[in-house]
This record gives sequence, structure tokens and C-alpha cells, in this order.
Amino acid sequence: MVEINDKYIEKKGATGSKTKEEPAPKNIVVANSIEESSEGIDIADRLKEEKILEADIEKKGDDLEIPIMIQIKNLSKWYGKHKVLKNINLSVKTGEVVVVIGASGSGKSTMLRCINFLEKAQKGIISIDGKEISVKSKKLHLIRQEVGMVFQHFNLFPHRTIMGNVIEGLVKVKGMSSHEAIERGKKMLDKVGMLEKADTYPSMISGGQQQRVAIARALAMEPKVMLFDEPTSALDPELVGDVLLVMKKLAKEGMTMIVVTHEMGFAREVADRVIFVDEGEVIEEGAPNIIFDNAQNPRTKEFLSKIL
Amino acid sequence: MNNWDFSVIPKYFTSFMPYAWMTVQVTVFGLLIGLVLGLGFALLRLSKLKILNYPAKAYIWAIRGTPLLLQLLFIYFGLVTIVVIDKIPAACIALGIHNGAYIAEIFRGSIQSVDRGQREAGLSLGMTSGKIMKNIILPQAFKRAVPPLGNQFIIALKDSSLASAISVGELLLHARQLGSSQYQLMEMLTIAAIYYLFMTTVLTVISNLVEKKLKVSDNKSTI
Ligand SMILES: Nc1ncnc2c1ncn2[C@@H]1O[C@H](COP(=O)(O)OP(=O)(O)OP(=O)(O)O)[C@@H](O)[C@H]1O
Ligand SMILES: [Mg+2]
Repeated sequence: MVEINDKYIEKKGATGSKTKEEPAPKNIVVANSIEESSEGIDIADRLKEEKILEADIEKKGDDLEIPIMIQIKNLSKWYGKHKVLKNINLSVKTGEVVVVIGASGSGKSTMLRCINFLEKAQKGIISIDGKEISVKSKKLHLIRQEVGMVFQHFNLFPHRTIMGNVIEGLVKVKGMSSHEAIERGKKMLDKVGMLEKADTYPSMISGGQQQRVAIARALAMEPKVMLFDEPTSALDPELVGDVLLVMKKLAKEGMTMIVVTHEMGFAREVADRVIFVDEGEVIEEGAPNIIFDNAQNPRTKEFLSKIL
Repeated sequence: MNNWDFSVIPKYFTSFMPYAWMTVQVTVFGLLIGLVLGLGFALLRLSKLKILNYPAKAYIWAIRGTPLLLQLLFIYFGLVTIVVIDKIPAACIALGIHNGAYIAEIFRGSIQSVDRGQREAGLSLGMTSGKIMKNIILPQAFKRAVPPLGNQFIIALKDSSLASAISVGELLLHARQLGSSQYQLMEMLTIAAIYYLFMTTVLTVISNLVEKKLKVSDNKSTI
């Protein structure tokens, strides 16, 4: 029942070698990007290019019209007496890719986890796609359907097959029939190059493969945003590339993404904006080349000198 | 008494059958009650609502802190004053309540041993806590509970012999009655021992098989 898909392998090279398009028009292709199957990619790519051309013409500086997907205002979070987030302000536009960097313990994960309410901040406002969401809401599970998350340690369900992992949310949360869910699951697995392994279990595949399945699992829910918390830092170096490739592809398709990572190459290539967090504060932010080559804040410089 | 005659064993062996069957029945019903109570109290014990923790803690504390024989007598004679209850269901209930406390602790441990990333992954897919427990946590927790549960089942089987104290016609009662009426207690106890050993061995084998099978489905890297 698993179709072997060598198309993906050819594609992989092709997608990887392309340079990144302008970030601004991404929002335009966001809508149907998730549904693409491998057969659909060529068409989708063509459509995308056309739209990008249109968008380029329309663009002319009216960035303001791109809707804001995530808006964080004055977010503060304490663990006991320890204040780990201090008045964070951040807004992420639809289709934007934001990379968050910062030292260990600076609060990057906490910030990300506040956005899908895995952690609840004591102060501040979080809005997703224009809707302000209270941490006290009884419907946080509905909000979380719209915010995909990829974890450092993948967190696949070991008792489910690869396909079972991808359709879990579709069947148990969206109430989709298993037939329909499997159809979508195939598309998602194909997208991350893991369709071949649909019937195996997580323990039988490599970390990099597990992470790609975890991405497919999150994508299957058709989230509006994807959060990545150090998605490659638990991987052997040789497995990092495949995961980053999938993420690049996703970014190109217009997914709104917030990525905590130490992969500076990825940040440079894919990020629209880099945010440096230190001791729970956003110290500096800007385009990747500005942050990496011309940081203003001494703390940013110090951090970068250690890591680059 | 020092003239043991084990040659009588074959003669009496089959007469133990119905009593062994009673042992099995009391054990099985007791364990069924114990599993239900165990899961229920484990979930209460782990609930975020503190008010729900206390009854579970109290139950586990009281049951683990008193002997099964006492509980058995307490339930049988205590219940008899309220409702008419036969000694066999009383024995099943007592064994169930007793094992429930131990099984609750087994489930609690196995539920807690499931990585919290599993819950977070479920949450991030938009699942509610209830769905996560049912579809993600419990299936994994049950697998981990198999070895300690197997062990608890064996203990329960042996403990069912205490039901003889309220004259439930199970293996040990029969052995003792037959032994004293025939003046061949050692021989009859030997027969009972053979039955018990047979049954506990079967349980051990089953538990090992199940454990092995679950391991394979969870970690197929051997194939
Ligand atoms: N559950 C918790 N309880 C108490 N303190 C916590 C908890 N989680 C995180 N912290 C503290 O909050 C601070 C920020 O942690 P966080 O995990 O967000 O950092 P990070 O930037 O993601 O670090 P890393 O790069 O190591 O992942 C740290 O000082 C950490 O010790
Ligand atoms: Mg972190």
C-alpha cells in the first residue's frame, strides 16, 4: 500500500538548490500549499511563480497590508519568583519566517510554548490571526489546532505507525474518517519524503526521519503557524540537512514560521527576521544579514561571536 | 503423622478440581474489580484537582496499611450487617478492593513513566486532556504495566487462599478439611501446592508472552 516515491528524491535536490524567493508574497500562496502532493508540486511551483510575479508588481511597499498572524504584547512569564520572560513584544506577519536565537536558558522555548499555551504567561496579550486569546480560555485545544509545533525530541507516538502518527489528530481531533485521513496523511508524508515508511514504527527510523514525520503530523492539521523548538539539535549532524530542507520548502510555500534554532546558515538563508533573546528579553531584531554582520547590541555581538 | 504416604496423591488429586476452579473464579473476579478500581483510583490520584487526590491517597494508604485477612473479615462481617451477601462475592469484593490499591499504584507509576513530551505532542495537535489520556498515554502505560501486573496477579491468586477464613470452598480449605478428616494433611497440602504451582506457572508464562509481544510491537527493530 505504500508507494515508493523516488520523485521526491529528485525534487529534493531541485528545491534545495533554488534560491529563496522574496519573502513578502508568501502569504498569497499559503492557502493551498499544504494540500500539494508530489505530483502537484510542479503545478504548484508554477502557480507560485506566477503569483510571485503578480505580487511583485502589486507589492511596491504596501507591506502593511499583510495581515499579522501572531501578535505578542508585553508578555511576562514567571516560574515561581523567577521571571523568565520580560515584557516580550513580537509580531509576526502571515508568511513570515522568524528565527529566534539566544543562549541556553534565555527563554526561547518558554516564549514559543506560550504561543500555543503549553505554558501560560501571567501577563500580556497573545493574538493569533487577529483573535486575542486568554490563557483562561476553555477552548485552548481549538486554538492549538491552528498552531503546529515541532519539538526538539520529535515526540512521536511510539505505539502508532508513522501513518498512525500523522492521522492521529485528523481522526481524533478533526473527526475525519480514517479513509480521508489516510489520503491526507499520504500527501503529508510524501511532502516530507517519508511515505515509504508509512507502515513502520517510529523506533525503526532515524532521528531525522522521525523529525520529518513530526513535521508532517503537525502539517496535517493545516495549522496557520508552525513553531519549531530546536528541531535539529537532537540530530546527528548528517541528518540535519534533510530536516532543514523540509523546513525551507515549507517556508517557500508561505508557511508562517517561528523557529528557535542554532542553525545560523538556515537563519541566514530562510529567515525574514532574526530575533535575539537574552535573559527573557528581546534585545535585538532585524534582517538576518543585519543581525549577523552588523549587530548593534554588545550582548548580541558577544553571543554571535561564541556561536558563529 | 510422620508416616507420610504420598501414594494417596493420585487418589485424591481430581477431587481438588472444583476447588481449584473456585480459586480461579475468586481470583479472576477479584482482579477484575481490582483493575477497575485500580484504574479509577490511579486517575483520581493523578488528577490536577487536589480534592480528587485525597480519596485516592486515603484508599491506598488504608488498604496497604492493613492485612488482607483483616480486610476480608471486615468486609464479610461488616457487609452482612447491612446487606445479605454470600461469602463468595464477599471474597471477590475484598480481593478486588485489596488488589485495587496495589493496581492503582502500578497504573500510577506506568502513567507517570510516559514521557511528558507525549502529552505535549497531543496538546499541540489540539487534543483535549481526556483524549490524550485515552489515546496516547494509557495505551503506552498499559504496556509498561504488564510486568508488574503479572506479578500482582500471581500474588492475588495465592492471596485468594485467605478466603478459606470465611469458608469459601477453595483449594486451601479443601486441602485442610480433607487433610484433617483423613489424617493426611501433608499429602493434601502437597496436592494443593501442586495446583497452585501449576496455576502460577501458567500465569508467569502468559505474562512473559504478553510482555514479549508488546515489546515487539513497540520496538520492531528486531525484524
Ligand atoms: N518548568 C519550569 N519550571 C521552572 N523553571 C523553568 C521551567 N522551564 C524553564 N524554566 C527556566 O526558565 C528559563 C528559560 O528556559 P527556556 O527553556 O525557555 O530556555 P531556552 O532559551 O529555551 O534554553 P535552551 O536553549 O537551553 O533550550 C530557564 O532559566 C529555565 O531554567
Ligand atoms: Mg529551549
